Order: sequence, then structure tokens, then C-alpha cells
Amino acid sequence: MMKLHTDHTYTLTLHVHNQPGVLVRCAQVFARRGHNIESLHVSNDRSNPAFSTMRITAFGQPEMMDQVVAQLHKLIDVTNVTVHEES
Amino acid sequence: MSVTTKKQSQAKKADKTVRLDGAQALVRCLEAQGVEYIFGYSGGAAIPIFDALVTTHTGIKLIMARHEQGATHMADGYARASGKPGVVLVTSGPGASNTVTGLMTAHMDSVPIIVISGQQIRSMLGLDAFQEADIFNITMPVVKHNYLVRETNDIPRVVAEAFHIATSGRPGPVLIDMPKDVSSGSFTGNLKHDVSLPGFSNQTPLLNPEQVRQVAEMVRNAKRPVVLAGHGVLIANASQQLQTFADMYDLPVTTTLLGKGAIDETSSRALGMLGMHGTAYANKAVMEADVLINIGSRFDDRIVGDAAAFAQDKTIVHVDIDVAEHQKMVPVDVAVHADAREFLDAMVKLKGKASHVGWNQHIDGYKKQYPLNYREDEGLTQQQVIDTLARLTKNDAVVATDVGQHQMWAAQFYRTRRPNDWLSSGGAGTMGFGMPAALGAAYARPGQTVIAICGDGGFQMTEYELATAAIHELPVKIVVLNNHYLGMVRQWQELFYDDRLSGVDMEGNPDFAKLAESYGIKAVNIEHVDELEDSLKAALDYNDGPVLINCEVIKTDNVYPMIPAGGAYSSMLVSAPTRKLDKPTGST
Ligand SMILES: Cc1ncc(C[n+]2csc(CCOP(=O)(O)OP(=O)(O)O)c2C)c(N)n1
Repeated sequence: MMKLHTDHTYTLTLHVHNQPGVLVRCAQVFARRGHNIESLHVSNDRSNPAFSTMRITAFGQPEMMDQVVAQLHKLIDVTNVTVHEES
Repeated sequence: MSVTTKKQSQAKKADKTVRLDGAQALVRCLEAQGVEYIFGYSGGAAIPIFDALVTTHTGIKLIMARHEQGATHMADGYARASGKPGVVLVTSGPGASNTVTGLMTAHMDSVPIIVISGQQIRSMLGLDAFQEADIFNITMPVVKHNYLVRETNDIPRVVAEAFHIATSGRPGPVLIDMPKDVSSGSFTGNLKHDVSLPGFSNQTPLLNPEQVRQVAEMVRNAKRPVVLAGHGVLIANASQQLQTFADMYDLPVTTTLLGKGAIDETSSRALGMLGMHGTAYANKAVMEADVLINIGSRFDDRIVGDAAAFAQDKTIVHVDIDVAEHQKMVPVDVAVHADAREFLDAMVKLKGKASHVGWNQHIDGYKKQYPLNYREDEGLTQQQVIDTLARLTKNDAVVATDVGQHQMWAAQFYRTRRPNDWLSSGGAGTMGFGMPAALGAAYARPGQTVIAICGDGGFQMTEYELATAAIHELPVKIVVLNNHYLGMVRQWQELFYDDRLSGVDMEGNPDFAKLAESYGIKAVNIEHVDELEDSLKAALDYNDGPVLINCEVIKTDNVYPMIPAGGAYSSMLVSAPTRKLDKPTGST
């Protein structure tokens, strides 16, 4: 997808419960609000294999970013969300 | 029989009772959750579960619907009218996909329902096997959470979590997809399971007492305060506290469509519904308010209209248990993350006091200047039918509505007095909701008058559930307000599309009274104003089963007040416009 000049790029770290479907649930939060995932890295939590860490860089209209983060937070299988750099 | 053999046979018996299959374990888990009814429709992949309803001799009653959508709306109506979760059981593939509209409806309105769907056996998943629908992925955006159960012994955990998730915090629907070999597999686990959901429990709000004091201070100092009560007040069981709070601070209270019943709408503090088709006095009060306290409403676009105009010149407090709703539609000054009851309890405890005599008198002036009214000289109107129903039932019935003009008139003219007496699809606006929801409510509230108020269009979307009403002799009053149009759409076409009618003529309507009678249901036709009162009385007095009341109402009436979608409150039409209107900026 083409990036619009008004789009905002941001990186999130999600701590998620390692359940089938968790990636789809997260991806839907972005897709529904017209945000695009640019890069995605999932790795297993070494201290607790029932959990994983996702690092997601996404872009889209900035007004929707807070909603994306808030809705990710609401997912039952997401235990934590932190927002990193924004540009 | 020797002592030992007796013991042995007892042991054998005990052994038998614990050796359950997955489906039987599921039924035991549902019993433990206090489930009274399951609204269902069977099919191959769900046979083991339907079978378990027989073999376990459970006290849970199976109510067989005629369509899975009907079953979901029944469960939804049951949940809204009882405050307890509603349960649905369907088969895989089309059975499961037919629940999507019902799930979406419940999701949009924060209603706890649990849908259990049968599924293909595990080894067939992903192979396009017969009636394998990927319902787990299909429903993801319309549920609060969902499960695909992979192990028979996992059933207790999944059921415990599903009910916990559906009913706590901001409620919502949960789907449990259960492969047939999981439900048929032998269960060797523990039926009891504690819920541990780290990603969910960390969402529980912690009320900030400093914020409570701040809000109390704002309310005390306000010149023109208004309370907006939403569905959250009802979900939190806080209407008593709301009334006390409003009395202490002398506050007028308006509600959302779903908040109806949070305050007794016949009381002097109540302003009725707010928003697009809200009362003129509620809308004017909110427009002029300097402080708006929103408790448990998500500032739906039909409440807000033009968000910038809405928020202008007022201080807004927003109490919501769902933090994602804060600052979503409207910028607010104080965002309180709390359960409505906890917040109101804390407010009441502060023992504050205020008086807003002048402001309340000012609003009373609007009530006199812009009362809800209707014409009585042009034939039978929907408003008059609803108004008469309200009077005859003393505003004491449980009312379920369908979606359209009749819904808005019902919201205006059937003033709701108590919590959980008003059931309407607000967020989704799902036509076909009303009648099955009323059936669910009849199970939730036996002995109470239950009325379904439907349009002729929406009624036909789920009219097949007349069979369910008839079989169970549910004493539901089904009112079809028959204007032979998809009235609400026709209204928009008249007002905004130069009266070019397209796809709104309900030519081909059946004779609804005859249709009901063919199901063995008592039916009446009302065509003239002078038969209205007596016919409604007779229908209300009949309680041996359902009764359908077909009302031939005038065809081309419009709902006012109306704020065109996306418009500012200042664009409110209190009666028919005298000039051509621009197309609304909002969608619906
Ligand atoms: C399932 C569904 N399809 C379409 C709509 C769009 N819609 C909203 S109101 C309405 C008209 C409803 O007509 P009717 O049931 O006759 O009630 P009336 O407005 O005439 O009171 C329509 C088609 C909807 N809300 N739900």
C-alpha cells in the first residue's frame, strides 16, 4: 500500500498470550482502521513460553493511532502494549 | 444381594456418573454457570451436544428456534431482560454463520451471549470438509472473544473463561467452536476451573477518588448541568444510585436509546432520549449545557452528530468502564475509568448538594414548548398505537422493538420506567431483532407483559419464530405497525433524495393476521382509530399464548425531532422542514 504523506509511522511492542489466532486478532485491529503493518517480528518469551513478544511497525492516519493501541489493549490475549518511537 | 456386591454396584454407578464425554461435561459446566435456557438449532456436528442435553437429564431447557439468527436474538433478549448471559447452541457451517448477525448485534450493544457451535472433527479442519466453516476467524471482529476448543479436557476452562469474559467489565458475546470429536471424546479432567486471564484482569478499572471530588465540584459549580445516562448504568445495576445522585445535585437526566430505563422516564428529572430522534427538550438542554456528565454511554454518532459542535462551550465528564471509549468520538475534559455504579456510589457518598432551580425551570419551558406530539385527524398513526399501549400497560411492560421509524417512536412515546424493560438494537440497528428478542424476554421475565413493537419490514426478517412463540405459548404481544413501507428509508428518500422512492415499497406483504393464525396464533387487525383502544385492551388481556396485532397505519409519516446524520444539534428539525434539505454529512 502506498504511504500517504499524512500517515504516521509508529512502533509497538505487544506482549501476547501464545494462542492460535492471536496474530489475526491483532492484525484485524490495524486493518479495520486502515492502518498498515510495515514490519512484524514475533518471538517466544524465553522466560515464559506461554507468551510471545510482537514488535510491530505500522503506519496510518494519526487520529486513529490511539484507537489502535486502546483496542489492542482490550484483546483478551494481549497482556501489554507499549508504544515506542513515532514519526 | 450381598453387601460387597451392593457396594460394587454403587461404585459402578458413581463411576458412571463421572465418566462423561465432552458434551456431557459441557452441559455440567453450563449448569454450574446457572444456565436456565439454551436457544438452539441442531445439525450433524452438534448432535453430541444435543444428545447430552438428553443423557445428562439436565434441568437446562432447550428452546428450539426456527433459524439460528432467531436463536441469537432470543438469547440476546433474554440477556438484556434478565441481566444474565444468554446461551445459543448451533451446528457447524451455515448454522454457525447464521449467528453472525446476532453476534454483531450483541457485540455492538455490549450484551453477554455465549454461542456454542458444533464443528467438523479436528483432523478435517482446514480441508474444506462438509459444513466446515472457519467460524473462529469469521466471527473474530464481532465477538468480545472466541475459542476453538482443541481438547476435550479443556472444556471446563473454556466455559469458565467464556462466561467470565462475556459478563465482566464491558460485557459482550463469546463464541465457543467445538469440533465433534472434542464433544464426543471422553472427558477425564476436572469440571471445576478457576479463571486466570492476565490480559483481561489488568483492564479492571481503579476509581480515582480525586477525580470523583473533581466531578462533584464541577457539578456543584455548574450553571446548566445535564446527565447523560447510557447502557452502562443499566449494566452496572446503578439506576438507583443515578436517581439519588440526580436528586442530590438537582440534575436533569437524558438517556441514550439503550439507556432507556436507567431513570424512570415518567419522572420530572427525565428528559427522554437524546440525539438524532431524541426529544427537542433533551437536545436543547444538552446543546445549552455548560457541564455534561456522561455515565456509561459511548457517545455514539447518533448521539453526537457533529462532534466539534457537540463539544463546543461545555465541560464534558465521561465515565466509562472501557478506556478505549475515552476521547474516541468527542474530546472530553475529565475521563473517568470506572464502573458506573462504583462511580455513582462514590459520588453519593460525598454527600454533596446543589440546586439548579432556574435551569430546570428553563428546561421545563422547553418541555411545554416542544412536547412530543402527533396528529390524530389523519388516520391511525404509529405514535398513537404506541402511546395507547403505554397508557394501557401503565408503562410497565417489557418492550422489545425492531428497527426503523416505529423504533424511534417507541423510544419517544413508550416511556420506560425500570431497568431492563427496554430492548432495542441500537448500535447495529438489526432489523429482525424485535420479535425473537421479545420471546427471549418472555423467558427471562415470566408473568410480566412483554410487547414486541415491529415494522412490517423487519418483522418479516424473523417472522418464522412465530412457531417458537406458538409452541411454547409465550404470552407475547406482537405489534406490527404496518405502513407497507420500509418507513425509515422512505423518510430519508423523501427528505434528502427529492422523494425518489427506491427499494422501499413493501408490496407483497402477507396478511399478517392470517399468517399468525396459520401458526395457531391469535391475531387481530386494527385499521381505524376508533377500534384501537378496545382491540389493544383485548389483546393485552389475552395471556394464554402469543397474540399478533396488525395495525394498518398511515403510510407516509415522518419521525421528528430529527438531527440529520452528522449534523450539529442546532440543525435539529422539530417538525417537517419547509425548505429542501441538504444531504446529511453522516452516513446513517
Ligand atoms: C437487516 C437490516 N437491513 C436493512 C436495514 C436498513 N433499514 C433501517 S430502517 C429500515 C426500514 C425498516 O422498515 P420497517 O421494518 O417496515 O419499519 P418502519 O421504518 O417502517 O417503521 C431499513 C431497511 C437494517 N437496519 N437492517
